[in-house]
Amino acid sequence: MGSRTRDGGVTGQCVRVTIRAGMLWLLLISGAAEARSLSSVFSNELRGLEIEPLGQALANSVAHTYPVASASSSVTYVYNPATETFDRKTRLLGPIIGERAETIGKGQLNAGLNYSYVRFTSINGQNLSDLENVPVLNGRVVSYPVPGGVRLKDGRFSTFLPIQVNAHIDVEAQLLTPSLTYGITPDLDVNVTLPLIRTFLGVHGTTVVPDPRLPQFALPNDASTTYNIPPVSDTAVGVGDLLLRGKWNLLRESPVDLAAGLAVSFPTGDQDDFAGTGSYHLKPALILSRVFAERFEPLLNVGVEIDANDVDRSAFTWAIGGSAQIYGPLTGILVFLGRNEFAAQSDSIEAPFFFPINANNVYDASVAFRYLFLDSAVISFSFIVPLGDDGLRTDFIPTVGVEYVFAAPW
Amino acid sequence: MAILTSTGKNAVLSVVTAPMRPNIGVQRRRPIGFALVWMVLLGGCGDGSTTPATAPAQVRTLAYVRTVCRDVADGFTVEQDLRIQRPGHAPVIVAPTGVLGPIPRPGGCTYAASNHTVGVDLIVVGAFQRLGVSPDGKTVIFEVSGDFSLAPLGVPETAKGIFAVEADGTRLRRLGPPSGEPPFFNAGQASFPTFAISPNGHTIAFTDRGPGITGEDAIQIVTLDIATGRRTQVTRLPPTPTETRSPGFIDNSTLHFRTSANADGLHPDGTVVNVIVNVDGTGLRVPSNPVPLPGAKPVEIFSISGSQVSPALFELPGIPRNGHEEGEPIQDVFLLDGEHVLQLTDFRRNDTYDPVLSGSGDSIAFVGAGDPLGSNPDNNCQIFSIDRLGGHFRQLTSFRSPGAGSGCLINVFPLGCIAHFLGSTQEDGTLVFYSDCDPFGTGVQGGQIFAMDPDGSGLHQLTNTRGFEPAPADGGALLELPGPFAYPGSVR
Repeated sequence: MGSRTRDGGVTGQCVRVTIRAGMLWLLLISGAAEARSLSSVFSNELRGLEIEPLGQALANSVAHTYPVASASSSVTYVYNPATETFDRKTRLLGPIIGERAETIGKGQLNAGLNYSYVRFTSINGQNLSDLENVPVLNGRVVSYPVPGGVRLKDGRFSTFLPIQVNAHIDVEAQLLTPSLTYGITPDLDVNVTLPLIRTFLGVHGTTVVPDPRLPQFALPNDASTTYNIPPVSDTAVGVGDLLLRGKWNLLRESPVDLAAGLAVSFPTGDQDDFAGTGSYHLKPALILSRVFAERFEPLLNVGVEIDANDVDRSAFTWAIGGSAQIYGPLTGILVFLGRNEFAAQSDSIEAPFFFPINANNVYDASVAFRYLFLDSAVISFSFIVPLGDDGLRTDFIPTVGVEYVFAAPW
Repeated sequence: MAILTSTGKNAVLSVVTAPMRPNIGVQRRRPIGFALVWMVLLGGCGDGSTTPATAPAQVRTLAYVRTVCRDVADGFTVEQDLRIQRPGHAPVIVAPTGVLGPIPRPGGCTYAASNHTVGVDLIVVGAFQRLGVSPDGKTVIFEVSGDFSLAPLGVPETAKGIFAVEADGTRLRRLGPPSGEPPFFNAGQASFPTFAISPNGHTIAFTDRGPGITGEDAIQIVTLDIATGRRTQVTRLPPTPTETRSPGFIDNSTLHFRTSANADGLHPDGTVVNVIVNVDGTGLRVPSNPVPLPGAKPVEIFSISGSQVSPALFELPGIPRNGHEEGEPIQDVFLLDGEHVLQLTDFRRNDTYDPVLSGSGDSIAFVGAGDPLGSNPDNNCQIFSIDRLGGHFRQLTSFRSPGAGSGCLINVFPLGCIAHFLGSTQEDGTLVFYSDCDPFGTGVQGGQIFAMDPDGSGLHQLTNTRGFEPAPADGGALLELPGPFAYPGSVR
C-alpha cells in the first residue's frame, strides 16, 4: 500500500485549477440559453395536446437518470499508528455507480469531477423520434377546429377534423459534476455533489388533416393536407439538485463490510428546465461489500428514495455487482441497478394520445473501467446501458471522470 | 319481474316463461330450443358447460304513470296512479287518483286508441304531468296538476304540486307548486313530460313560466333544488309562439334545451335551435348552424375532443326523404362537443329523434326509420346506435309494422308501430323506451315500456298494461297505457 505526506502547495493549486475549469466550461456551454423554461414548449407550442405533465415527467426522469457518481472513494486509507501515516486500505478501485461499504479514512479528502452525456431516445419503448398519436382514445380524438364547418365525404357536417400527429422530441443533457468526499472519522464519510447541467429540448413534426386512419372523416375527393409543426428548440444551463450524502461504516469483515448511508437531495435544480426534481428527497440505504483476495469486491446496495413532497412517488432502489482488478492499476466494474417506483413520478396525462405516464421499473447496467495513476488519482470511463423499456430511456450514457484523494495530513 | 294489474292477471310472468313462442319474453341471441340441443350434445363431453343466454336487461328503478281510460255512457273516465318498480320488490303504487270524470266526450277512449295514442299522450287529459327518478334510483319526483288537462278533472288544489317519494313508497313530500307550463304543446302532438335530473341528483330542471328579458311572461327553463325546494329561473327568454322544451343536464352545472325563442338574438325567424347554458344563467350559447361556410379551413390549434359531449337534434333545410312536406322538418342526430358540432346521421327524414348518450359515453342510440344498412327496407321505426365519431353504425331492433313506410310518425296513415322516448340509464346505459311494436307477439293493442342492453340484446318488457280492449268483460271500451315513465338518468 502506498502513502502520502502533506503537500499543501500541490493541493491548493489543484483546487484553483478545478474551479477555473468549471467556470470556463459554464461559459462555453451557456451560449444559447434563453429566459423561458424548456417545459413551456408543452404549454405553448404544443398547447392543446394536453401533454403538459410530460414536462414534469421529463424533469423527474432526467434527474433520476443522471448518473450520480458514487460517494465512495476509489482510494481509501487507514491510519497506521506505528508509522503515524495513512496506509492504503486496498488497491482495488471502487464502483462508479453504487456504493462500497468502506469509508475513505479520517481526514482524507476526495475530489472528483465527472462528465456525462445523456440523450433520451425512447419512452415506454416508443421512439421519441417517431411519436404518433393513437387515432381514438375513449371516443376522443386530437383535432383541429374548422370554423364554419366542413362537409365530409359522406355528406355529414363537422366543425372539427381529427389529425394524425407525428412528432420528434429531442431531449439531451450534459452534466459536469464536481464532488467532494471527506472522512470525518474512520467510520464516517460525508459527500457533497452539485451537478452543473446543460439541457436541450427540441420538438418538430407534422400533422395530417384529416386523420387517414379515420375514414369516417374523409373529405370530398379524399382531400388531405399536411402541416408542419413549427420546429422549436431551447437550451438551459444551471445547477442540478444539490446532493448531501453520509456513510457510516457499521461492520468490517464480519463477515462483510456493512454501512448505512443517508442522502438528502435539495431541489436546487430548475424542474422546468429538466435540471432537478423539484422536491426534497431522502434516501436511506444499506451498503454491503467485501474485498476478497485484494482482487474482487462484490457489493449490494438496497434503499428507498423518499419524495418528501409526495411520499406516494417514492421508489425502491438497489444495486448489485462488483469490482475486479484486471491487472495492476486497472479495475473493471459491473453493477446492475434498479429503481422500482411506487407510483408515477409526475401527474398523469388525462388523455394519453402519445404515451401514458406510469410508475416505472427501471433497470440498468453500469460497465466501467478505472485506472489508478499518481498513486492517488483515478481516471474512469463508464457506460450505463438500459435494460428494459420502462420510462424515459437512452441508448447508453457515457461518463468520464477523474478523482484525486488528498491524503491527510494536508 | 311480476306485475299484478287491477284484474289480478299475472300476464308478465306468462309472457316471460311461455315455452311455445320463440324469443318470448326475453330476446336471446339464439332460440331456447337451440340452447337445449347444445346442452344435450355437450353433456357427454368436456365439462358440460354451455354458453349462457343473454340476461334480460333490467332497470334499477322504473317509475311510470298507469292511465286507464274507459268509455262510459256519457263520455269517458280517467283513472291514474304512479307505479314504482324495482327488481326483486313488489311494485309500489303512489297517489292513485281514483276515477276522474266522466269527461263529456262519448267514445273518447276508442277515438284515442284509433289515433295511435301513446301512453304519454294521456297527460293531456290526466292529472300526472312530469316524472323523474334520481340517478341513484332511490327517489322519484312527480308532478300533479290537472290545470292543463283538455278535460275538467277537478283535481283539488291540495293535491297539486311537485312531489318527491322514496322508491319504496315512503317519505312522500311536497317540493313546491306545479309548473305553470304544461309539458306538451299542440294539444299533445309533442310532449316532454320528464324532469331532467342532474348527475349528482341534487337538482331538477323543467319548463315553467317566468319573466323574459323585457319582463314579458314567457316559457323559461327553471331548476329546483330537491333538498331545499328552492326554484331558480335560469333563462330570460322572450315569448315564443311555438316551443321551448326538453331541458337536460350535460353535467351538474350545464343545461341544454331546444327553443324557437331567439335565445341568442341571432335567430329572430323562430328557428328551433339547441341552446347550452350554465345553471346560473350565464354562458348561454347556441352551437353552430350545421351548414358549412364556403372556404372554411382547419386552424392549426391542437385540441382534444370529447370533454363535454351531448347528443342533439338539428333541423336541416330541405324536403324530408320520407316525403311529408308538412309537419316536422328534417332532423338528424348531431354530437355537441364543447364548441364543436359533428353530424352523426344523414337520414334526412323528419322522424329521427331521441338521441341518447350511452352510459359509457362511447355511442349514441336514437330512434329513426332510415335504412342505411339495407336491413330496414320498409322504413319501420327502429332503434339505432352509432359511435360518437360517426362509425360503427348498428340497427338494434327489428320491429315490424303493418303500416310499412310510415316510419316513426304517429300522425301519418297507414299508422305504423313506433318506438318513443328512448333513454339510457345513467348506471349502465340500459336503453329504455316505449313501443307499440309488440316484439313478443302478445297481441296487446297498445304500447309497453321495454328495456334493452346497449348492444340490442336482452330486450325485456317492463310493463303489462292491457292496451285497448274494445269490449272487455268488465265494462266499456278500455284503454290502459303506461306513460310518462322515468328511470335513473332518463334525462340528463
